[in-house]
Amino acid sequence: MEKKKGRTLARNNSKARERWGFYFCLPFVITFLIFSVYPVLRTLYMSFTDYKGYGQENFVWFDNYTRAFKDPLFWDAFVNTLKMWGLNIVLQLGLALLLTIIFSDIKYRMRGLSLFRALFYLPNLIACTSVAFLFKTLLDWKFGSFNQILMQLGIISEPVNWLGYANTAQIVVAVIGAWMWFGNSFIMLMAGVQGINREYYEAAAIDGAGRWKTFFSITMPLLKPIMIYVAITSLIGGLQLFDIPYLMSGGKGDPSRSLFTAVFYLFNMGFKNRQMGYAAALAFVLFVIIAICSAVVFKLTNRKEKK
Amino acid sequence: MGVTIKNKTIKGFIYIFLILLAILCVVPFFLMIINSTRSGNEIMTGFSFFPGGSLAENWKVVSENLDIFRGMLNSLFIAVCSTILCSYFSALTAYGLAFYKFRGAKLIFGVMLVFMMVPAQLSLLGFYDLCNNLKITNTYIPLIVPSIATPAVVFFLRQYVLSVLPKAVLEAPRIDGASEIKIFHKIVLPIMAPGIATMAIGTFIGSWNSYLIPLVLLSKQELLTLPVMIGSLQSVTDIASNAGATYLAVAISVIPILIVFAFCSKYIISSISAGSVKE
Amino acid sequence: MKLKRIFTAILAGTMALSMAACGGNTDSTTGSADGEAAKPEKLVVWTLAEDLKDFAAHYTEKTGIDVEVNVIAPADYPTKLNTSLGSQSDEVDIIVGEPQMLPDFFDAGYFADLSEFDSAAQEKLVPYIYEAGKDSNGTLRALSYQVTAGSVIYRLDLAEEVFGTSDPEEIGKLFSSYDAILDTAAKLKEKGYCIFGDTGALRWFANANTPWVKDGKLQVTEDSLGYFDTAVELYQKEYVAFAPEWSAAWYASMAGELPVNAGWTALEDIEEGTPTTQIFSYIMPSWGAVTIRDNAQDNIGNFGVCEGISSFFGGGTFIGVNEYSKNKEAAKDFVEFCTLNEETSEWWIDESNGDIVSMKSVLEANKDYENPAFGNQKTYEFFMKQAENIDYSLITRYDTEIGNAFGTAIVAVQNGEKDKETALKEFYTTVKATYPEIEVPEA
Repeated sequence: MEKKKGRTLARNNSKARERWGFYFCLPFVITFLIFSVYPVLRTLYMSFTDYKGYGQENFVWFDNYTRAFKDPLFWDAFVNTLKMWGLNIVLQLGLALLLTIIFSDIKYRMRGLSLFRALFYLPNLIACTSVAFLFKTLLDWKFGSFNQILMQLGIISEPVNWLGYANTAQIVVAVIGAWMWFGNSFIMLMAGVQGINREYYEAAAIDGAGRWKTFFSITMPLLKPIMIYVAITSLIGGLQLFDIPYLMSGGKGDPSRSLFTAVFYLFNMGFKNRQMGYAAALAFVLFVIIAICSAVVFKLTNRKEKK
Repeated sequence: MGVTIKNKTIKGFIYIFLILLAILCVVPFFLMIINSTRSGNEIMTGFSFFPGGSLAENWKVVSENLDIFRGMLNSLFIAVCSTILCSYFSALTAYGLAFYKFRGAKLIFGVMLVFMMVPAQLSLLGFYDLCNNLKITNTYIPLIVPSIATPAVVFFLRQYVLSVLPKAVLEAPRIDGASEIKIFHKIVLPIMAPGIATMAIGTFIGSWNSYLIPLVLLSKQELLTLPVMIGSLQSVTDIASNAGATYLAVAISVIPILIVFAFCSKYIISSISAGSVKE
Repeated sequence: MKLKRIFTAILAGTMALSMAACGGNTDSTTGSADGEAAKPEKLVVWTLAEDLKDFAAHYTEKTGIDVEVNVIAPADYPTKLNTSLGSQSDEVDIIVGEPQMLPDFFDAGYFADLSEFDSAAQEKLVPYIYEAGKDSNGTLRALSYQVTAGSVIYRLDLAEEVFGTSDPEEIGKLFSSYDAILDTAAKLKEKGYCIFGDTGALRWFANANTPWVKDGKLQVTEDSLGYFDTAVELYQKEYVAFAPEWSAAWYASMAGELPVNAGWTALEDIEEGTPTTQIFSYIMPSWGAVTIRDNAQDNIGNFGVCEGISSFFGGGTFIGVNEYSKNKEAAKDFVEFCTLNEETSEWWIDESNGDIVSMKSVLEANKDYENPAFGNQKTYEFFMKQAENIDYSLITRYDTEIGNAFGTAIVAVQNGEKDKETALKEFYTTVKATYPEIEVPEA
C-alpha cells in the first residue's frame, strides 16, 4: 500500500512538473497567436475581399488571384527581384567562399583574420536607409562623388548615370546587397571551417592531397550545410527585397520600373493605392513561391546527401 | 627556395586584394564623413580628400530640421526592449520545449517551424490591420511585444540547450525541492548565456535596422525611429537642397554604430561565429 | 547567481520603462481630451510644402495657439495619410491634399465636413477652388488659399544676354510651342546655358488641355506625345542640366552657377577652372515663386514670369480637417483663418512675394502689385489672367500615377534603353495593371 501510494504521488509530481513546460511556452504561444498567426489568417481572408483599408469589405472569391496571375507588372517586379537577388547571392557567397579559402589555407597562414573579419562585417551593421541614402547621394549622376573620383582616376571620361538605366540600377542594388552581407556570410563559413576537425586535414596531408583536392574533398562537403543555410535564408530574405530599391528610387521604382521588387509592388498596392485585398493576394502568391523554392532547395540538397 | 619566393609573391597579392576589399568596405563611410564637412556647392563641384569648413553650417541645417538624436533614442529603446524580451522568452520557451513532455509540445514546435518559412511581409497587411483595430499604431507595442515570439530564435536555442545542458544537472536541485522556474533562472539561463548572447546580437541589429514595419505603423514625428527618419530625408527641403547637410544627417545616423563596433567588434564577431557553428 | 540578478533587474527595468511609456501615452491622450472644450494646446498640420509653416507662425502670433507643421514629401504623403488615418488616428488635426489626391481622400472619409463655410467659400473664393473642395455628394470638405496657375519662370539677365530682351511677351514667344522650345534651347546651349533643369519641367503641358482619363478612357494626345518627343530631344542633345526637380543641384541652380561634369577638384581651384552652366527657366505653378524666393539667395529679383505653350495649373494645397481630430473646432478655425480671411490673404501676398491667392476681393485689390522678387513685374496681373483659363475638370484621381508612368516611359527612351513604341506600350500596360477599370489604346 505504502509503496503504491508513493508511486502515484511521484507520477503526479512528475506530471505536474511536465506541465511547467507548457507554462514556460505560454507567453510565446499567446504572443505568437496574436501577432503571427492571426495576421496571416487575416491577410488570407483579406485576399478574398475587395478591402480598401476602410469601409466595407465585400467577398470577391478568387478575383484578386486571377488578377494577380494576369498582372504583368507584378511578374516584372518578381523577375526584377530574382535578377537582383541572383547577382547578389553569387557575389556575396562567391566572395565569402574565396575569403574562406584564403584564410583556411594551411600553407599560407594568412594573418589579420580578426581585423579583416571586422572590417568586412562593418557594412552589415548600418541601417538600410542610411546605406541607401548614402549611395544614392554618392552615385548621383552629375554631382556625385563616386563619378567625380572615377573621372579623376581616369577610369571613366564621362560621368556614368548609374541610377538612370534599368540594368546598371539593378546591378547597383545587387552590389550594395553583396557589399552589405558578404562579411556576414564569410564569418559563418569561416566559423564552419574552424569547426572542422584538424585531423581531417592532417590525414589528407599524409595522403599527399594537394591544396585544391583538400578543399574540394574536405572543406566543401563539410561547409555544405552552412552554405545551404546561408542560401536559403538569403533566398527568403532576397525575395522580400524592399528597403534599398524603395529608397534608392524615392518610392517610384524607376528607371523603367526596374527597381520595383515584388514586395515593393505589394506595398504600393496596399498602402498607396489602397487596394488592400489585392495586395493581400499578392502576398500569398509570393508566399507560395517562396515555400516552393525553399522546399525544392531542401529536397535537392537532402537527396544529394543521401547518395 | 623558388617555391617560397613564389608563395611569398602570391601571399603579397592576396594581402593586396584583402586590403583593397577592406578599403571598399570603409571608403563609402570615409566619403560620407568628408562630404559632411563640405558645403553643397563644393560637393557638386568636385571631390576632395580634405575636409571642408562647412561642418557647423551643415549641422545648423540638420539640427534645425531633424531631431536625429530623438530618432536614435527611440530606435535604441525599441531595440533594447525587443532584444531583452526576445532573449528571455525565447530561452524560456526553448527550455520548455526541450526538457518537458507535455501535450501540445509537438504541435507548438511544428507550427513554429512552418512559420519560420513565412516571410514577415506576408502578414504585414494583416498585422497592420490588427494594430489598427487594437488602436496600437503610433505606440511601440507592435514593435516590441511581438519579439516575445520569434520562432527562429526559439528553434536555435532549443538545439543549443539540448547540446549544452545535460539532463542530470537538473536532478539535484529538483531533489532539493527547487521550483522549476527557479531552476530555469538559476541553472539553465547561465548555461544558455553564450547562445542567448549570439541571438541577442542578431535581434538587436535586426530591430535597430528595421524599416518597413515602423514605416507603416508610426506617423507621429516624435516617435519615428532612426531608419524611418533617414528614409524621409528627401522631404525635408532644407536638407534635401543641401548635399552637405544630407551627408551629415546620414553620418550622424551611422557614426554611433561605427564607434560601438570599434570597441566591441571582437565580441560581436566571435558571438556570431559561435552561433553559426552550433547550428 | 549574478546573472540571474542582472536579468531580473533588466527585466524589471524594461517592464517599468514600457509601463512608463504606455502610461505616458495614455496620459497625453486624456490630457488632450480634457482640453477639448478649451483652447487646444497645439494643432498639428501635415502638409506638402513649406507654405503652411508661415501660415502657422502667423496664426500663432494672432491667436497664441501653437501650431506644429510637418512637411511630408508628395511621393510619401498619400501613403502616410492612408496608414495613419486608415487607423482613424487623431494625431493630426489639419490635413491637406493636392487636387488629384482629393477624390480618394474624400472617399476614404478622412476630411471632415466643412459645410458651415459653404456659403462664405462660394461668395469669397475663385469658383474652381470652391468646386474642387466638394466631394461627390457636393459636401464641402477642403479649401485652398491659393490659385495655382502655371507659368514659365525665367532668368532676366540670361534673357537679356542671349535674346536681347527680357520682356515677358517676347520671352513667352520663345516658349509658345514645343518646336519653339527646341529652338530656344539650342540658342541657349550655344552660350553654354541650359533651358531647364531636367526634361520633366515640360510635364505640365502633357494634360493641359485634355484630362489623362476621360469617360473611363486613357487620353494620349498631341500635347502628351509632343512632350514625349521634345523631352527626348532636349535630353539627347544635352539641352538640359540633368538636375531633376527637387534635387540638391536643382535648388542650387536658382542661386546661379552649376558645375558641369566636375571631376576631382582641389578646393582652391573651384573658383576658377571648373566649367559651369546656368539654368534659364523653371516651369512651375505659381507656388514655384516661393521655391525661387527661398533658394535664389543673391539672385532674387532676377526672375520674370511668362506664359508657356498653353495655360496650365497644377498642385495647390487644399486644407481640411481630420475627421478623427480631437480638436475639430479649433482646426476649422485654422482652416478658416488660412482660406477665408481677407487679412490673411493680404498678408500672404507680402510674405510669399506674390503667391496668387484664391480670394476674389484680394485678387482685385492687388492687380497692380509690382513684385520685387520678379524685377517689379506685375506678376499678379499675369497670374490672374492665367487663372481665368483654369479648367478643373482636367484633374483626375489617376493623374499622379499616370504622370509617373508616362515619365518612366520617357526616361527609358531618353536613355536609349527602349524605342518609343515599346515604351508607350509599356506605359499602357502599366496604366491598365494599376487601374484595371481604365480603358487603354491597344494592349
